[in-house]
Amino acid sequence: MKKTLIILTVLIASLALIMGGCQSDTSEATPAPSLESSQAPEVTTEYTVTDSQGTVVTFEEAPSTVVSLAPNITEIIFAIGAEDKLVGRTDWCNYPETVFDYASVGNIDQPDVEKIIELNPDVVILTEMTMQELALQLRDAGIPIIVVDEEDSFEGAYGCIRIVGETLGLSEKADDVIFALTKEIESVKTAVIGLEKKTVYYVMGYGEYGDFTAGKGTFISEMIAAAGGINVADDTEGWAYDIEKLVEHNPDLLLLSMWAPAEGLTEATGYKALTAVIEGKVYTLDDDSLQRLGPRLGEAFAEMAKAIHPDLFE
Amino acid sequence: MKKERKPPYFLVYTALFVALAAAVVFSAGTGSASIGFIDSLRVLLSKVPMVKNLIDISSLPDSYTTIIFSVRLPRIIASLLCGTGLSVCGVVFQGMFRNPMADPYVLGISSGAVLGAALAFVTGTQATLFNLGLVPLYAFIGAIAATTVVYLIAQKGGRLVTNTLILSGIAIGFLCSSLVSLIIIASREQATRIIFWTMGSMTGTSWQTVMVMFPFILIGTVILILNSNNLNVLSTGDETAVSLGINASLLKKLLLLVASMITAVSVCFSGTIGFVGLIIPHAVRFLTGPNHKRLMPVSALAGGIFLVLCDTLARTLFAPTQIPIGVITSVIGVPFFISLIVRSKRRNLI
Repeated sequence: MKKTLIILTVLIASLALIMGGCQSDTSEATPAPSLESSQAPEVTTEYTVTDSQGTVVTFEEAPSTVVSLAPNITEIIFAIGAEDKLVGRTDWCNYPETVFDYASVGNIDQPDVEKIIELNPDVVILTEMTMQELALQLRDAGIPIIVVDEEDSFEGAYGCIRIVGETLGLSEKADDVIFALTKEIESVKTAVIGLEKKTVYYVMGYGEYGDFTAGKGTFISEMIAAAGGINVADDTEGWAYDIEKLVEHNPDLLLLSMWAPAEGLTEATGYKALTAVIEGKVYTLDDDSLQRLGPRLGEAFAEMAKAIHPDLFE
Repeated sequence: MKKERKPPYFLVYTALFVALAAAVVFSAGTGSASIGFIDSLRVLLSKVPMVKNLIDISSLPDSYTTIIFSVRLPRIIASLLCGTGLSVCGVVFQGMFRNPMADPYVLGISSGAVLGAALAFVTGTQATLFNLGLVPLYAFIGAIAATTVVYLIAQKGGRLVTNTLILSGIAIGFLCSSLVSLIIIASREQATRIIFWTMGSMTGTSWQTVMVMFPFILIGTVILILNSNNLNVLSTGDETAVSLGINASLLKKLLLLVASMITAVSVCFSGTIGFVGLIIPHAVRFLTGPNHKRLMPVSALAGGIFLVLCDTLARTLFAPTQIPIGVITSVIGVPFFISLIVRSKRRNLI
């Protein structure tokens, strides 16, 4: 036992060393790359951007090239008319159609860093999905990085658009997009006021791999409530659900992720007995626009409201 | 006694070192960025003390230097270290347990590491982007904790029973894997990350990582190689060891500690890279025979070369998309390994 203790002590000590090494290096490198230059008073084109993590980055002039490391960021770049600045995107960026004309730098969490460095963009805009080690490598290579990762909410989407706009020196354009998006979302919210609430279940997955939904606290659940529905899965948190509870709730309608094929529901145990399935009140929503904090969120929200209250939006 | 014909080992080592250097240079010159091989060589040589004055890279963009020295080289060195460490540990575990199925992960180290990493993904990474080291730290703690538990279960009055050790390793391994499955179900957002982590990846390796790995793996490997002779004795059975005056129990504990340390350090930074620690020792054994004095150093070099080449493929084959290195080691390793088995079968028939 004594020996084990000694071994453990040695291990913990060596661990502390490892951590010490990592920590000190990170903290040294953390300040934004060009804070000093903000003292030059005569340059008027200079501006600063605070990203989602509170890091302040100074740009001497608006970046003329940008690499986007997330689909929502890419969509925002197109929406604010900055696609001529885009030099790199991820494999997951699939909207708008023309995005495929732009070079990909790999996937979101592990993009190809050497490819990005070779593209030599003036800024890389990324989310927290990207491996932090890779983000650090980019910053160490002298490429400013902006992290755009807001809370899953309508406000979060506005925040993403605002930061991307500020970064590219296109704040006014971004404000226009936010204004249009806000109008779209608020008009849906207003339209469903006073309507009879319907019970809704969101199907993320079903069948042999388990039943998954969007439980209480998820953005999708909040959207269902805002669109005049009652999410029956609000009695659980997280993503897993119990088919027995679903049968018991027997919701008015089902909203489906694209990953949950509607055809299979009539065969699936439990689901085929649901009134909504029998009556065909099953609506597939576009995952991309629904789950990306970008300019298409309003459209997706309207689609959802239309599924819940079909008569309202004719 | 009939004397076995041995290959000339001086030549073998020289050839392996040359191959290693060639693999490193080849890998440093290959990548998704369109830097020509010659230009890569020039960039590399520009940092070599003796010849650096002869090389002028001022005509090349600065990004070339960054790509080769900050992105490619740390990855290459880390692959080299992992390959070396895992292969040597594989030899040790196989020799010590006298079990050809043994590999560095046999005592639940990898499952423990995955559990630790999964916990880190679920609890920590959403907080900030720059908590570098959280995943490796948790993975390391997980690896060491799992091995410690296995050790405590298997030891009896300070003595280690090999079969009990392997069995409890398997048991703890399964337990950790089930817990990981539970975590994946509870937090689907992190599922992809966790699954990718179990396939191993050298992506994102920095010099910082290399600096931490280097001393552990180097010193550990040297200690293990110095024990080659003891391992020879141990692999013939505890009784032989005792009759030769070797404290088998103490020796086993030392080897176990050092090998677990190397494996934990490798795994915590790169994820569980499968197969290297299993096939490299066997493949090398076809060449050197079972004598650990040859088997250990040759495995160390061969493992390093193998993983450097595998990682080069992992980052270039479908560039810019990165493939988990564990996939490459299996896809390349298995056919090679099977061909060795088939060949040795044929040899025995004649």
